[in-house]
Amino acid sequence: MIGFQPSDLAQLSPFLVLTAAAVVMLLAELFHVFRLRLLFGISGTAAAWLFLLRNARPQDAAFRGMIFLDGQSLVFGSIILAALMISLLLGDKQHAAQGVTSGVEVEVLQILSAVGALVMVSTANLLMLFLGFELMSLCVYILTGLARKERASAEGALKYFILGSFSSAFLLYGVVLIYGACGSLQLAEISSRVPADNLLILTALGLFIFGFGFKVSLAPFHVWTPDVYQGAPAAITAFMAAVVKIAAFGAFARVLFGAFLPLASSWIKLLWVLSVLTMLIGNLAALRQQSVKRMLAYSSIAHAGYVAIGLVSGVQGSGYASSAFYLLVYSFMTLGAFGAVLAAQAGSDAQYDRDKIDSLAGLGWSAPFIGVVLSISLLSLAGLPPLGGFFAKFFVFRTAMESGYTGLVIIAALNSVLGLYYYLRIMVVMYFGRSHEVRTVSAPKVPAASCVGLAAAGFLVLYLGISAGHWLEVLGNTLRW
Amino acid sequence: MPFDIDLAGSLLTVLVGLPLAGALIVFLMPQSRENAAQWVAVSFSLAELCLGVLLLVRFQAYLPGYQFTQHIDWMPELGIAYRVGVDGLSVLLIVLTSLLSALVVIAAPSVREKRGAYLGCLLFLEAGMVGVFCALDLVLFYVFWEAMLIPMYLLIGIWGGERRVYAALKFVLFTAIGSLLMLAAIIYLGYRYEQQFGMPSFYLSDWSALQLGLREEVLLFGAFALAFAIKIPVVPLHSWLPDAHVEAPAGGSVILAGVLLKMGLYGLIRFCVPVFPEACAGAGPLFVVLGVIGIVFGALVAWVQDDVKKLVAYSSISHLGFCVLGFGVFNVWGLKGAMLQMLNHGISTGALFFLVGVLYDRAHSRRIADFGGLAQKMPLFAFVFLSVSLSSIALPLTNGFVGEFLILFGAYRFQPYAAVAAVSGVVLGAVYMLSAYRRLMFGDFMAPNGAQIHDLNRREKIVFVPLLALVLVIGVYPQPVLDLLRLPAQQTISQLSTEGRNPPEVNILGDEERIIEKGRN
Repeated sequence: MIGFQPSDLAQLSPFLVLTAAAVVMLLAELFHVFRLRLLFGISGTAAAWLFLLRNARPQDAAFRGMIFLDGQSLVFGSIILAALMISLLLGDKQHAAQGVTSGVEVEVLQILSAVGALVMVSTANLLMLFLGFELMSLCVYILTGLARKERASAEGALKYFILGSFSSAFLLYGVVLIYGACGSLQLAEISSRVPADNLLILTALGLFIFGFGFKVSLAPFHVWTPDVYQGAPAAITAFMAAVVKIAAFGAFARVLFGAFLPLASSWIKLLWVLSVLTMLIGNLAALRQQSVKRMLAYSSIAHAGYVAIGLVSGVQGSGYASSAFYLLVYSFMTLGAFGAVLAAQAGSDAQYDRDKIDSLAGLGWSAPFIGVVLSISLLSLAGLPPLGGFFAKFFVFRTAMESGYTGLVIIAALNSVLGLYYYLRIMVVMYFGRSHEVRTVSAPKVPAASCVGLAAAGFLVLYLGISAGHWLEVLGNTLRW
Repeated sequence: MPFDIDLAGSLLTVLVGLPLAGALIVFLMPQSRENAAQWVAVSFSLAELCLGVLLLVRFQAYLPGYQFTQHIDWMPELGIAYRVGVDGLSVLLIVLTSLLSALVVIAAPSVREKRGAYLGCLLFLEAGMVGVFCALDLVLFYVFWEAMLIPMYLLIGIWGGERRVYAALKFVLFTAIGSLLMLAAIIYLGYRYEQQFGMPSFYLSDWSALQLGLREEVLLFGAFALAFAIKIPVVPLHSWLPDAHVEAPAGGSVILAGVLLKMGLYGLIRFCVPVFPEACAGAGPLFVVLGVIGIVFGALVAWVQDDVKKLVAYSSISHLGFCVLGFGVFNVWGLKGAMLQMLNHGISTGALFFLVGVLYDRAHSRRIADFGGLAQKMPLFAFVFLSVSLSSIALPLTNGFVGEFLILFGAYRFQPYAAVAAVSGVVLGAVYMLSAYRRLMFGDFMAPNGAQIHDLNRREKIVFVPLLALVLVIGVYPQPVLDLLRLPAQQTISQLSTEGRNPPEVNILGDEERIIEKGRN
């Protein structure tokens, strides 16, 4: 019998609140209280965050470590909830335009998926981690396919489901092998029992990296990403690119540092290679894309490579904190970018033809607000100061230097030049057309909530740049609880 | 007076902040209110110019070290701080920046499309440029250095010519390759400082104390020097410059040539010399060779150009070759000449690009072969063009002469052959400049169809008056400017470990010690 204490419920509260919000929204749909959808979603998310903030404390496990609300959960959980909130705002009233024919399911599935993401980053038990992983993934598979009448959407969903199931299976197999080698599913116990240089545990580690590499789209496990990101409705892509990646990276980092630190020498080399490969493939492939979403998909692959640099250098230095900061900034800039693309497509019935980069022609002049948010997001993704993306790269590079990976930094720096090229290409289209040459795009009608979401993302990218040092310290201290 | 202390402490911050505020206001104004935006931009840039002059007046040339310093912690846990300060060189460059920016803003009505955004970009760019010239923290410097890139990119890309997209991307990518490697080097140096002194710092003066291995120093110097050499541009890395200049709108070219090209050399003097003295000293001959190549190559290519804007662009490469040469000889004359020539080039090439802009505005052509006999219809234009050309080819009594003379003198002291080779650039300069002038201005009148040839209007006169005045004043009486540059040049020399090579009688134009003493009393 598992010992149950009332205090454990407090640890469970963020998940309960968020799930309750989803259920209430489903019921509200039953009574046709449509207008309150967004309100429910936002307030549920905010309440979950408050509970997370109140109940997270150093090294306090509930349900025998099944739920583990510590500093790492607080950091990644907060990013996940913030990203969820912004993507709910961005998607509000936009789904029909995106070919999504359903009712409230979109929001409910996003929230449930975020519950899964939250579980992933707040458990110290591999089985719970797998459950969270699956809850999150299943919701996202459905979300990808929600634009039922669009071929690309259905294709993306099926591809994602099949490949995703494979990766889940690999992950689960890894869990099983770890259990076989160490006799435990608790990270702390695994870490103390890890046998050195044991083929079994190395295989398990490999399978683990495979599974997570798939979810965070590290090359060569990235092939699904462009199709899925392009096929899914833009609001869902924004959600996926932010929430799924944060959750997977958060859990990945916790397992690597929590359980496999004794084997660091073997996975560091592997991650080094994967990170270089990911940056190169992501950036090179993005150069020649014609579809905005596909280009941003490759860019999100490339960014996974930069985050991985932080993990590589996290063993000796402060790489963990810089990775977390990178994810924090990344989630807002990627939400800003996809959100702006979504807003630009608003009001058009044929969004899948409008996916071309050229469809953004003149956007900077016809819709200055969207243009500015998109520019800020892109320039930040490109790593230009004083935006958040610059300091995110700066910190990652710095920790990599401290750990002696100077070569990695130089490769990453040169990669950023490639990135600059394709991000600026979008700005070329947005701003550089002569007004008489460019088909004037009528200013899209963007719902107020969407504007709020865009403004929030843009502001946060700017703010995190200017106060980067402070937030790096906060993240570092919280992660060390 | 408390006011004085306050002013001295934050004057530089105001100088950076003022154009930024102006840019925000202009960007937020509705696009249709172009005239209002013009007035706002003009008043902000003139206010900035006044503050720049105030800085010049208040600056005390006989005091060593940085003045008007301000230090605000930005990210203390990482050793990154907002640190600004100026010496004589930066003061001159800041004044040049604010002057050229104000003139470009005044000349802005020749831009017909989206003028509000154009003015916003110019003011934003101005803030970045002033920031570059006063930043003393390397991260802050990098922030300004890169932040400048975007408005310049937009200026070329939105208001440029036919191949503007190509030119704008090329400009950004060339710069970015250099600067990202420089970023890696900055991060590495910050890390090394923390290793050696136990706390992180990106402050320039702290970094002079760094102990670096020779190989390490050479590599890091290489990363910095590459970024700066691309910006100057030194000859094998120059190919972005003609494209950017030709495609940029007139105002963009003025700023690009007048200010942005100075940043490379400024960076070498300000950052490379104190942090990597040995590598710098070792690379001196390399700079001399590259400088001479630049002088001759730029001049020869300029000679054969048919596009007058391209001609001015290549002449820039030649002039900056002189600056690189003056830097590379590492004696006081060469350095002082290089610094002065940075200023002079800003004035005369800025004016030349303005003139080309005037011509293009009238005729929508820049081909020299399209024009002839312009002096008949545009006498004032021809006069201004002649004065500026003469300054550009360094005729005595114009500003260009003083600078090039000092550089050649320094080069002669260093290596007579270098001076001889460089002098050929002066001759070639006269050849290409004067032959272009002859073809444009004399002979039978000729202009492209549809051209509306009329002489300078009031706005254009306002632009050229201060530039011509500076050409003459610095040409006739350069002493105040040279006084400003004396200490920065000496400081740079003393930072290089080359005491053996330079005789101690480092003063050609006055006795520094005495002046410093006088100033203290």
